[in-house]
Amino acid sequence: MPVVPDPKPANSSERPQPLGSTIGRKVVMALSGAVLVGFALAHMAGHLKVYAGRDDYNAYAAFLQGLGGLKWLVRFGLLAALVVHVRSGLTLAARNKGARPHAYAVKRAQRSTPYGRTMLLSGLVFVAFLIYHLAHFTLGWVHPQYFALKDALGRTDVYGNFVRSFQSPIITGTYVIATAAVSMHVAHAASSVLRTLGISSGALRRSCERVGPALGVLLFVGFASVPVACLLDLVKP
Amino acid sequence: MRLQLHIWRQKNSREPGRLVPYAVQADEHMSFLEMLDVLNAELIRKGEDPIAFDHDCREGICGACSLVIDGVPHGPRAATTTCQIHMREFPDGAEITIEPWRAYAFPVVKDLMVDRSALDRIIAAGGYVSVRTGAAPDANAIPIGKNTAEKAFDYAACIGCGACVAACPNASAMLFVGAKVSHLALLPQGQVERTARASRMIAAMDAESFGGCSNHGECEAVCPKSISLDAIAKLNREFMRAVATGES
Amino acid sequence: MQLDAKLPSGPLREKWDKHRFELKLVNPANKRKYRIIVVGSGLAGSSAAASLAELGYDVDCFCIQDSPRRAHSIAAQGGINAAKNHQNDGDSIWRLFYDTVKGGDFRAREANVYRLAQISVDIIDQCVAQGVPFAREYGGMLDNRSFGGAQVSRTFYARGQTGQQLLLGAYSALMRMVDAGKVRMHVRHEMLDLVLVDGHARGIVTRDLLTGEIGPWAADAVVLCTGGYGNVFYLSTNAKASNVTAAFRCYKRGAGFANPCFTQIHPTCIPQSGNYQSKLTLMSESLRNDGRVWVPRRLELVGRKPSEIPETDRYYYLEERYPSFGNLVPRDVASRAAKKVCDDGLGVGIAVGGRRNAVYLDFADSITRLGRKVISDRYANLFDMYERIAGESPYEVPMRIYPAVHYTMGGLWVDYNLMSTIPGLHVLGEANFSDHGANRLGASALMQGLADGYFVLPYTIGHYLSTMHKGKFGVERPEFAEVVRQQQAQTRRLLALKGQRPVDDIHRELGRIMWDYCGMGRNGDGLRKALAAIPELRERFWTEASVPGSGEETNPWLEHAGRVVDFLQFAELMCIDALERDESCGGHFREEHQTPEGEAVRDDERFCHVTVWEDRGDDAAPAQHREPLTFENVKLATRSYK
Repeated sequence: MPVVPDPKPANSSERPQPLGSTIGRKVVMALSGAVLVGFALAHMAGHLKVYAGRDDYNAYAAFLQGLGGLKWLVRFGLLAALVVHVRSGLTLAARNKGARPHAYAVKRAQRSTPYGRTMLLSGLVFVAFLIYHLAHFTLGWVHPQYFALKDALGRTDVYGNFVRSFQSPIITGTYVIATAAVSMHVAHAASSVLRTLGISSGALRRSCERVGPALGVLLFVGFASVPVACLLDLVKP
Repeated sequence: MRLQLHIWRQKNSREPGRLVPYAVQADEHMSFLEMLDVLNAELIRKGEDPIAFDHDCREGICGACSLVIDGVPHGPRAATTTCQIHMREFPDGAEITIEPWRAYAFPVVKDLMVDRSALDRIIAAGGYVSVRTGAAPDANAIPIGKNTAEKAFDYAACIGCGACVAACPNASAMLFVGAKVSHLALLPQGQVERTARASRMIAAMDAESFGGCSNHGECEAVCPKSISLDAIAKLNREFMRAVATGES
Repeated sequence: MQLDAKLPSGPLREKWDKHRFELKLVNPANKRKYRIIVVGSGLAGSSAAASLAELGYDVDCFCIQDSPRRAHSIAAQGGINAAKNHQNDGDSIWRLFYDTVKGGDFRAREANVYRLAQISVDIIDQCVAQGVPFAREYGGMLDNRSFGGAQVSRTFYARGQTGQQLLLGAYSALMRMVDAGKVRMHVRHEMLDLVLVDGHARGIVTRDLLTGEIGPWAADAVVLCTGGYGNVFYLSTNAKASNVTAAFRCYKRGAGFANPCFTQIHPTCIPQSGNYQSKLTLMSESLRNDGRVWVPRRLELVGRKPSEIPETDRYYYLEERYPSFGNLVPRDVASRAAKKVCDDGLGVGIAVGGRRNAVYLDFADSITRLGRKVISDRYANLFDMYERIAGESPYEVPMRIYPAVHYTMGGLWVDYNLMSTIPGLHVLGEANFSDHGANRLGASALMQGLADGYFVLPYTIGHYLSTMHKGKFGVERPEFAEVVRQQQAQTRRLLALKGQRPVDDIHRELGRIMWDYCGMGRNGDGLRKALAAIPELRERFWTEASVPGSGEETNPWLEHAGRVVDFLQFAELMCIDALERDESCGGHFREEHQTPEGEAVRDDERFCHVTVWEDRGDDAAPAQHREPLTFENVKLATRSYK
């Protein structure tokens, strides 16, 4: 039988750390996840600025770049949230797997959703995508041909880079798939966060259970629409 | 009615098991367990090894019966234990797979019987009010609102069958623990030990190697006593309360 | 056999107080040196084990289920009586005492019943403090209801699951003591025998139901809380594992068995639907408040759908025979009336073995009068339960009901200290005979189990330990090895049975004999028939039965076979007792003794006593002893429900 590694037994001489318990890890995941969802929403709002045109978009990008120390604080904060989130998630996933070493021959789901049961997969797909995404827009390691573009005011032409990149069906396809993964992840996660934090119960329960799917749809539409609009030439470089 | 069964057979916790096919002639008015009784009687007559399963009251309250029927703990009818399922729920000629509860914390004892003593150990860790016999104040000395009492009852109705664990993709016992913690946290009698109880029971739950809660809701769907997921939300709140008060 | 009930002298009201003062105490520092075995973890067992451990005793508690929480007390639905008089409706300790003595048809000890009524008040306090969620009124105070025909509302309840909630309270107290290291809980262990050393109960022998290991346990006293023997009828409302083995083995070791023929039949259970039926399910008696009981009036209408029987052809036999109480006549009267109409061939529902054993409980009138909503508010849970089991909706089709064995008032004889005729062996709850007489009031079983465990035994066991108990020793005494050897031999004998018949089948046959001849109505001829049939069946058991598997593994069929062997012997004792008690009283109805209207006729001249049976070995008839019952505080009256 596989060994379930973590956390420590209650009666071990070590006093159990509350945040190391299954619930503690879930709370950590919920809080870090909430930070990441908050960032995703802000990021999505930024993306949607593409529709406002090159000038607005590049100005917004320049503003973000000009934040200096604050920018790095946010970046490190997000990185920390991500690391904590992934680490807790992997630890819990390993524990959960160990908690049922022998699978059922027949198992019929009653209430759980396909996107809820594939959180690990959608999460890992997203992490892989994130690396690609940073290499693309932040570091310019992939598709560097658009990275050095400048606009008429001499600012980095993020808009041009953005729109030209998404005229490629392969890049857009990748983004849409990744967006779907994130949206599925959030569709389960957001409602899950609300229960883990003890909010989703009693009279609030039904509303809380709608938050996840609603956010999932919102993120998918918000994130996928811009690359698709570029591909379809609805937004011009 | 004629049924084709696939039943998990396992000699003991050390040896591997497998699904074995059986055919049985049943009656639609039989309970599911009576159908197994009939099969067992037939096996005994043929000199074959009958199938062991846990059961006792056969009226849905003791929590002993425990079969996963076609992939659903306690079978096809909501808010109903296995012993209260009747064969009229199944069509003639149905093919039915019967497995034990599956969890690391519930090792198979024999065939469809599992060891659920982990649940008792969690209760022993704090699922009580520490009141000595004889030390109780007058029963009406502490008024409890009707709605509070009803809500506490909803959680206290847990029969400890472990279907929540069996159904959970993570084999988590959060609904079971949440039900007891919520029942006592709602009542004035449970206040003194409230945070310590939550902390101890959570630690005991983890020590038994149950999985964590991923908020899928499978537990609530199969719970024969319809215990709400609110128990889990409440358990999470009680946990945070314990952390916040430094009593974890 | 000496039957000294050790009843305290003095006025009834002061007996228990006086007695408690006279009981010898065990020094607090010495309590931990006494090991006590508690067998069973129902209301009596859990409450006793927890309370003894709290006092400081070293407790070993055994149960046959996989958790102490599964004991069959969990299935009690209705409620628990207590003389709190919260309703200001004239209840008192005296009235609860009187109602219980009268309900038991004057076949219980006054002093025991009075103590029970006194203690009832403390039980509610204790359970509430544990967090038992009793029903409340809007103001936050405890709610009560009237139950089982009582004229006052003294029943405390937790929806229809009072037994569950009380047991979970006692279980939580027990688990607290397990956590404290004061109780060692042995689940899936079945008591096979009692071990006597120098005439005192000093241990038990158990089978570990997981490994099959037969092992001895030594202690300074043994407390038996193993419930009733209703499963001697095969079909009853008892859980499948409920059995008489522990009590019967104690009887075989010398404990007197009192009034074994006193069984209670519950009138409203869901009837049998086939030969495969494994148990019967009780439906709350409260249904009779709004349901009308009827069967077809004439034989030619039998077998028709209820909707095809016109109103004029419906025989509302309770309303016609008992105009003032109608459908609300007491349990035993309602039960016998149902049996009579079914025996007359007027039964309804599914024919099992050529007999239709059911009557209708019809809600149509109430639904018309009060509306479906009111009926649903009152009975939705029960109607759902019925529909799940019977597959018909009581809103549309009349419910089918039939009486079933529910509770056994008889049990091991105990004195006022709950000690049996074997020194050191204490018996609590349904396993003893003490408080209910010939019939038990509704909502009194929970009260008695908890009274014995929480508030009687913890005092009285100390008296035994400090005055009669002698010597400290463990399982190394040869008496233990001897009993283990006997039980191992019995196990080998059972496992050698390789006949053709499943043990369950033989148990079912025994049940039919008992139901037909020692059930709701009994008569001399029938009982003599049963007394011929039972030994014959017992013989056949040893040639026909088949016990699969081995003794070194989990083997539910071996467990069951052992229990059936004891039922096959015990059934005979029940019939002997029923034949001997040549009167009708409470749940024991001898057809020879009834009024022209079918009412029970008691014979206080000849039978105002407890009959106690002493075993004389397998080949000899048991010896009969009598404990006379004297009533100084109540007048023996005759019931009438006309």
